[in-house]
Amino acid sequence: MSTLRLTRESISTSFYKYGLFIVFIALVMTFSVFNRNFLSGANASNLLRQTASTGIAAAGLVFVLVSGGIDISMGSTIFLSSVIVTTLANQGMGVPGAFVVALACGMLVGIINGFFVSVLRVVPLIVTLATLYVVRGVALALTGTQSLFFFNKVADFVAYTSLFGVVPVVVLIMAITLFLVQVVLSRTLFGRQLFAIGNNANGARVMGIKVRRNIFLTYVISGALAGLAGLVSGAQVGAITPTFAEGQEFIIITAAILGGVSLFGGKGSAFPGAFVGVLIVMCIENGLVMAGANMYFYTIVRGVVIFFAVMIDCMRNKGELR
Amino acid sequence: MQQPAADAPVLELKKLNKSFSGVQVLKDINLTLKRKGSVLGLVGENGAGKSTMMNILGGVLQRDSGEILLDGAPFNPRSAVDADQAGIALIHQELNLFLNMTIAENLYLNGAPGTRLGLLSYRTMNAEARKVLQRIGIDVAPGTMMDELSMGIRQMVEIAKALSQKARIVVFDEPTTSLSTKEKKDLFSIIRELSRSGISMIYISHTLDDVLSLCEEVAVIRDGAIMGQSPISEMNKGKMISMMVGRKLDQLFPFAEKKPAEVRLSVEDLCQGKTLRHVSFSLRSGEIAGLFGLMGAGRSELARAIYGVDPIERGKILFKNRPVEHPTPSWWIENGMAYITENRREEGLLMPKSVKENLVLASLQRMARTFGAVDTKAEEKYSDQAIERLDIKTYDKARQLARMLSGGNQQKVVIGKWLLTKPEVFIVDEPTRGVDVGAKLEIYTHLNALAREGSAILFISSEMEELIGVCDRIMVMCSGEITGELQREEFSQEKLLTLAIRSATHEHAAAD
Repeated sequence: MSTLRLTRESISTSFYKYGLFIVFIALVMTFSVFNRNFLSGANASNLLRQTASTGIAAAGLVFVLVSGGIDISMGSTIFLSSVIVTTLANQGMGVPGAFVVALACGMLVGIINGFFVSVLRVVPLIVTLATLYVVRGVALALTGTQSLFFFNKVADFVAYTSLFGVVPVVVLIMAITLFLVQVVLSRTLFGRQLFAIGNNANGARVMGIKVRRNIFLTYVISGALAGLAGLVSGAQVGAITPTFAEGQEFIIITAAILGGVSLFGGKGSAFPGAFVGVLIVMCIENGLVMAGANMYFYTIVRGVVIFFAVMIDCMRNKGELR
Repeated sequence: MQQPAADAPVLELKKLNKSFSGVQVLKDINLTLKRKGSVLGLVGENGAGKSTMMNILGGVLQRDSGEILLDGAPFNPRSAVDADQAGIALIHQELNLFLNMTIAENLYLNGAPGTRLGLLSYRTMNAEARKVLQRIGIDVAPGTMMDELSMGIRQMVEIAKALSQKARIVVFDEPTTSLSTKEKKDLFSIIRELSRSGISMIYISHTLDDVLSLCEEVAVIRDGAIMGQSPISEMNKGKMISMMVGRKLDQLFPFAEKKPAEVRLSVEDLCQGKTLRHVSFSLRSGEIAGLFGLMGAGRSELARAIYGVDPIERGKILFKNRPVEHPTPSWWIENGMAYITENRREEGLLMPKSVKENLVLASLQRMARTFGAVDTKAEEKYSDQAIERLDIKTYDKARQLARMLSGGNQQKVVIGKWLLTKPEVFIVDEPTRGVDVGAKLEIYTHLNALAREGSAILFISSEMEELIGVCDRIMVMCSGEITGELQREEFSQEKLLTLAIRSATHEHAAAD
């Protein structure tokens, strides 16, 4: 009986561990049955480029989620950053400037979120819900609710250049981001302390970990990376409409949770975790496009995916809390 | 670090004071840890101020006035990190470990060996962790996740953490509450080992026997003041208890004559895998039946199965002679059975709610008037009764939150909650674990009163003394079976232990 239970447990833990990859492979296989082009090199490269913006933002969100918080203002931050970068780039700002500005305006939103969450101790969901609206409002005021067009040398470099003709710049940006984020999370004291905070904030405080400072930083980082994601997706799309990146935060959150980053804190990784989550989400969307699915169907699928991601997360945590 | 003066005590607390929102919790505390390697026992009732005192020493709380001297030099910890650096480690009752991380990561959360340019070196961390673990004789890989370890090993990891921070003074707060007998033995041998290697310790516990056998000196604290500190040779259990409670306890275990009447609950041939094997017994109104067994004997599992928390494979449960087909907790509560689990802190309390709300929670049904409105006057009356009867220390029952109460008072609230429902059948699982002597007496008295009013009580415990003192009869379990039953006149610790070990050794022999 006890050995039987052990194997059953190990099956379920290995499902939780590798289930993600199994799901991913199953998806790829299903879609390639519907459309032969799905597995082609061109589509794979296309898929990677599509993941860039969401991947960068999700990597930033991992910090917040691991320490037990949440940031739902990312879509608006992406919008604000792309609006400001586009405006300045259209006035002649260069490539390095664009990166600095994108990171800085994301950071600004992050500082506001972090201040309210860690200093004034307002619930993160409410703080970032407020900034979700306020930030979008500010950006709309800046544009006068007009669409902006992002066609200049900055957009060319970010979205349409490939290094050595093979590695698209957007993919490189995402790869560097994921690498750095994962190193910080798993190989620095700051990163490990975030895991401790997410597991038991009070215990971390008693141990002398600077809980509030660390939580503040997670929002600054997630804001900064949302800003970077704004530059990337702005350059890729080319047209910044008033609804640009609206609802994007939920795709980012879904991807991260799907990738095993827990909503309950204390668990997750940017790579492979969140990245595979993003791949799965993008795969579904890309596959639906290639299968020629009805537009309305997307929304339904997104809803179902969110539901399952959260359900799996809850089940995983239930097993542990008992 | 400066050389300690030869004659200065390792640690000295002088006239320490602390109040919380106007209530003085510590009054002129004086305490001395005389020499390197000495173990000082600290005993006192729940809420007497032990934890507050330790938290001040550990830098978690700041004192209002008074002095702390470390090797004769003043010491003013502003944070937990200050205390760490001064070599003071606190091992809290609720362990401060992060279950989502490995042992090594837990040991080095505030700074890791081998870190270069801000990057951690897992190789060095694991190697250092392995050394520390070996020093206390733990053979577990440092890369093991905390949540895979037993409570005993977790406690050891907490000690390893103290050692890895080069602690000179280690404070244990109730370290044995969740340990098995064997784990407890291991812990004690490690404490003795640490003492030999020159680490001084303060050992806080309600288990006076442990204090007597481990410590050189004992200090007793009552209502925030030290009642005395003296060598163990001048102390005994009775003396400690009377100092703790401030009066003589003529009787530790009150036994009341009762008149057992009809059978309320009976269980026939209950089976559940290997955890419960053909268990049959019955429980009469007006009696307290004890259920004894060692760790893993299946006592709590039996209670959980009856209560419908865990499934049953075979067997019958009869309540007032009527079979209960599918027992569920809510069915039992409605029909008058209460069950206090051994993890009552987690399962039995709404931490962010007030003391009053927690107390009346289980009896809201009975306080409901027409249209389901709750009778607020009855609420007041019942909760006041419980607070008075159980002597729950709360400054404002409607405003103080359950999580702000001291550990022992939280347990009293859970027990009070069920006492208010006047259950017909009452299953209590380790109701006095971690509770001080005074509160224990109160709990026994209430169980007696309930039984005299006609409740049938099943008292699960691993403390033989209290079962012998309180119960009318004791059933003994071992590896899922009831191996015997003793009547009051045949009670003895030897007999209980023989029954509790019997089939274990038997099975062991069979396995060989």
